[in-house]
Amino acid sequence: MTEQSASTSAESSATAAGISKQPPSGPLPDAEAIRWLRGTTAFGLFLIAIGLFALFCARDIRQQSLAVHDPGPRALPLICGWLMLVGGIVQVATALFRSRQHRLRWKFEQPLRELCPSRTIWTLMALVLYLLLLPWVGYSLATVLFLGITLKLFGSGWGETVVVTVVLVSLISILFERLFQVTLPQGSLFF
Amino acid sequence: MISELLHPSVLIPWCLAMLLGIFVGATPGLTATMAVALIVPLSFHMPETAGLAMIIGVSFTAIFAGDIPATWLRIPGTPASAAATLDGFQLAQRGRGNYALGLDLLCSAIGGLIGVGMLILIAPSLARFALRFGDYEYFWLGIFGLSMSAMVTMGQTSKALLAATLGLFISTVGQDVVSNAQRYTFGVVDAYNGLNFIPVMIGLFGVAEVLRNVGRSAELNRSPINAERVSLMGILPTVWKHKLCVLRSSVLGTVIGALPGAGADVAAWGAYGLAKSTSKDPDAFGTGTDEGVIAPTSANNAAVAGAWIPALVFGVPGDAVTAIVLGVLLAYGIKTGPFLFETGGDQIRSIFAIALITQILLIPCGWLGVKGFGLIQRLPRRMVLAGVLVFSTVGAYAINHSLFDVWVMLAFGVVGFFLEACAVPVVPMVLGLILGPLVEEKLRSGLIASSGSLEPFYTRPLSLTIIGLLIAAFLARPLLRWLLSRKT
Repeated sequence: MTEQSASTSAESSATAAGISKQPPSGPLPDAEAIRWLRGTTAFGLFLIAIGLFALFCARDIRQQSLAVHDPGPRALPLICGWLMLVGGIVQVATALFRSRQHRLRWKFEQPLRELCPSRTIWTLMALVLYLLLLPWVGYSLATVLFLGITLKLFGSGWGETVVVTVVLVSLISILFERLFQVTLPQGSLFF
Repeated sequence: MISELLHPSVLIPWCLAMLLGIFVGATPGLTATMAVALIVPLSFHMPETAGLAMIIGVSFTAIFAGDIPATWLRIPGTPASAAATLDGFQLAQRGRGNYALGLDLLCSAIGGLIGVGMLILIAPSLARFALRFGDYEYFWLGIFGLSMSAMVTMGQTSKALLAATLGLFISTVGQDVVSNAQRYTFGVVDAYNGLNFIPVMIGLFGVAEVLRNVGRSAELNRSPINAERVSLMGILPTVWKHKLCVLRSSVLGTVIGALPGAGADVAAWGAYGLAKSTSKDPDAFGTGTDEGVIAPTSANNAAVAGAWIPALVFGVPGDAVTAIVLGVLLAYGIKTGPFLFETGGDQIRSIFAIALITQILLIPCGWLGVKGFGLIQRLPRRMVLAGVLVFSTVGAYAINHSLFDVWVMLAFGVVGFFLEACAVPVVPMVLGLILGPLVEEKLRSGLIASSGSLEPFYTRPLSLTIIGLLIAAFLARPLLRWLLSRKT
């Protein structure tokens, strides 16, 4: 493989996340090659899943058109679905082929722990909880709870957590509600 | 006329309106359209010249303002600012955010000046040229934009093209514009109009960045970035060094901006791809290069001026912002269209003068905005990350007062985090999402018009020219390398 190093933000992110963007060609260190294989396999499986979903659900799109030569609303989703499915299979096959070629042993479940540290998962769960609470308890209370949890999770002391929460909640409220007349969720429990 | 424009009674509200435009444009979730819409009622309480200056001033500042959060926080304020999340953000991570935004600001102003210059000099002829673009040419223009995904992520071509396909697929969600058929909406009314770009971008860039950072303790406890002190005068030599890149990107931006439906986002990516393919060091793009900042920022502001060409010549607005401005012009008794250039001498001169002076005023007003927003970087990282999550959520909600948009933001945050962890570039996905509707609509209407024949897609002179440019863009680098290797 002669693919050259790319220059996108994904590069630094991926490197930082522990995944190499370089395909294993020649005498690469095993760890780096394995990272590339994991990334490529995961992306391939993701594409296969999305491709299958796109193709399966495309059956429900009514193929109607006012014009005779219009390929119809189903055409592009089908093209994309097939491209993602085939592309995903190629990605997984490439990773497996290179894995055998370089006789590398690795487990797929390892990257989950490596890529998704517990704090990331907790942050995500806090964000989901925040979005679930917003329509029920409203912007102010939900944001106070969310900021309280996340700031503690990120390592802030109690003093810092309270001050930042009060300042941010008030600032956003003044900015969006007072200045720009955006009605933030009020909370159906209280109204 | 100039003395009237520079009178404090005009200049002060003009600058205040531009500052508000920068503030609104730099706040995630608040759009350029909103900034202009907010100023409209205020402008009617002002004398006509001041009102016009306020409206035109705001419309020219919001695109630059969108670059500010894109550079500092990796949250693009507008779709046209997404390119600033590449090199600008990388520079900010190295403590050079003020430098990146200074360069961005100067190039935006120069790009705007070149765009307005072209608007003054060749508006009618450029508008006539733009009118010759049919469905076939627009289709190829969309493909040209999509191919930039391969160009901006050279070396990861297969993954980039697959990510662009994913973006194309996501762009099909919603009601089909030709047949009104529902696609992947599953009965969710909020999804009928498709997925809004802004929450998708806030998720892909902003939320994904937070998720990536919170996983690393070193990142959370990192000391605040000490942004270097820079002066705009000190950045001028860099702009002069890359004058050709500025000129090329600005001209490209104006031409693309003049095409209704293409817009500043296509212009920014087109200029970025062109700059990369013609650069001496293309591999450095995305790591914090000057050209990576200069090209998209010159082009996106020039495109705003370009969008005024069809708006003034034919009365056809290219985007929502221009549509509001046209409405205001009508309220002031300025009827846009071909006759404006023949009969409305004073009015058109007044608009041109305001547009030119706005570019100059953008520099001090924009610099104030950069400095103000830069204060955020002095806060501890954990506070900034928590704040970004809340601002992203409220910003995504504020666009349509819809919690659906907030869930979209979260979903794309997870997708962006996952893709970056797999070393898959996210930018092509955004390009696919933005250009998908254009490509599909023009392909289908082109096929309907040609009775199913593909021939006009590759036989019309303008189509052939774009295909030629597309091939040239792909072949330029390998050809240059081959020639250089033969020389040595």
